[in-house]
Amino acid sequence: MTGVQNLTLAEASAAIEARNMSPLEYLDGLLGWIDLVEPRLNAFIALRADAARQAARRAGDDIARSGMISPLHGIPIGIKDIIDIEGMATTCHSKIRLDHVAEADAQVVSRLRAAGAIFPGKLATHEFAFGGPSFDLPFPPARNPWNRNHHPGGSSSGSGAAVGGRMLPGALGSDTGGSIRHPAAHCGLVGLKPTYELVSREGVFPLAYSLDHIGPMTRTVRDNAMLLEQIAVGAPGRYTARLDGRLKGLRIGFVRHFHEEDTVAAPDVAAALEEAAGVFAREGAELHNVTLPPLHDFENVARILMISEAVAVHEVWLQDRAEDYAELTRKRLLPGFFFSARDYIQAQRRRTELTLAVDRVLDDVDILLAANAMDAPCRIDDREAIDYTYVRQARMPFNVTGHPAISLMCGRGADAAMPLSLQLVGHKFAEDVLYQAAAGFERVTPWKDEKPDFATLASQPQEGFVA
Amino acid sequence: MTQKTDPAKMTIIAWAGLSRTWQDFPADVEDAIRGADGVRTGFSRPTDPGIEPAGAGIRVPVANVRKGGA
Repeated sequence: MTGVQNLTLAEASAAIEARNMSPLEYLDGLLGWIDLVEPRLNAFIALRADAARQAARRAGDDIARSGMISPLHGIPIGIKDIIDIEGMATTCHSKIRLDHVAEADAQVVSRLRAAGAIFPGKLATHEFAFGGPSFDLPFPPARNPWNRNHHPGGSSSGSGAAVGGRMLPGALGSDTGGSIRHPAAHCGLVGLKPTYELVSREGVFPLAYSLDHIGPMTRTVRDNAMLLEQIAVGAPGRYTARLDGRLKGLRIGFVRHFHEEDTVAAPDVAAALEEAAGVFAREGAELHNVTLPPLHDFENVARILMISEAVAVHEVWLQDRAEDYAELTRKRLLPGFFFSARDYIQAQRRRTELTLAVDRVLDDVDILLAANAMDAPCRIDDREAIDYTYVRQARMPFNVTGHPAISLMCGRGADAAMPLSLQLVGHKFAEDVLYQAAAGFERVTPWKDEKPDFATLASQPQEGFVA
Repeated sequence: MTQKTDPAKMTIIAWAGLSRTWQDFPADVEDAIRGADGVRTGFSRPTDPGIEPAGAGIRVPVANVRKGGA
């Protein structure tokens, strides 16, 4: 079937349920689209079309016989290549792990498999979910479907490119310092970092265990909630229940100082955030300016925790085979050897204070509105701009505190019309409220229907850059 | 004195187990030492002695669970 790449996950699921489309027809349509755009986006590290077709055929037979076991039955889902799928390599996009074949599914994959989902392949990442877009790795870096000269954000870069490029209706990413919300922001997607430990990390290669979160990346809020329902531990059936998009009476704390004082956002990003705040107000939400601790406090605490914990995992490899890392990954990991136990514990103590500070502000509001990326994505080959812009973000605080946070498109950038994004943050384990607010914003704004210029993308060369 | 023979720096690098890495990537290791200094002083230390580390299992404030709602 042609054109199936434009179906949202919910639409595809409904078509399968109504027997208007079989899982195999859906998958074959997507594989045809993948043939066209993937050579220009590099979202996949491994694509197993034949195995996926077998699984889709099996799903179709099962559905014909007994109906769908879940809304994900027969739906292809992308998996970031730090997450184990039994029998496939988990390379972490690194030379160091090229030969590592997973003996079992990660728990999150196991849950999706039990829901009937299909796994066509493994998706690109920054090396070990940590470095940045690098050209000195065994696989090329994923590109941005809105403009392949630009980076798609990271580290769940392949997940962003695959879903933004409409090759898959949804994917899993991981988020240790914003790695779901960053590619979601730059690829015009909905990306959720759930509450810490709402989704299992078992079978996922760790970056920093106390900051790592696994979550869904999709094109719509409903799709996102559908995926979370299947992967959240112990909370099925809850997240799609309140997607009426009602915003009236919602109490929103706007964290303006993050992007107006702490790290000043680019003018187009700041304007998009103001416009978004206006949308919430017009729809009847109550907006209040709120103050959290300075963004830089969160960032520096997060860096000590992240790099210290990561180096505990990578210590021996960095001592014995540092040449096998990308230059960028190696440079970012090595400072972890020079933090002390005192530094780490002080960072954990400050983390307690920061978490309590966010909780205190949330005592008076339902959700927070904050910046996500402070800039639109730059060119993928502009290392200086990447170094400058990657750290200009407001995602890290909620890895430190564990609160759920969702990224939503809220505009187009002044330069190259790349997607811009906001972030909503909720009470712990109140993802349903977050989804309700996100659905309300999505309902009254045009951004969900914006998409990359695929005709131009498909006509571009597969290698190098476009003039 | 060249950087290579700076005994204090070499002691730190050896203590970190990075002598081999330093041989291949001396600039990366020395940048890391400087970078770590910048980060460790980049946040305020808690002044209340009673503040305990958050630890890996971030404690969920029970009062906040399911509290949100429009």
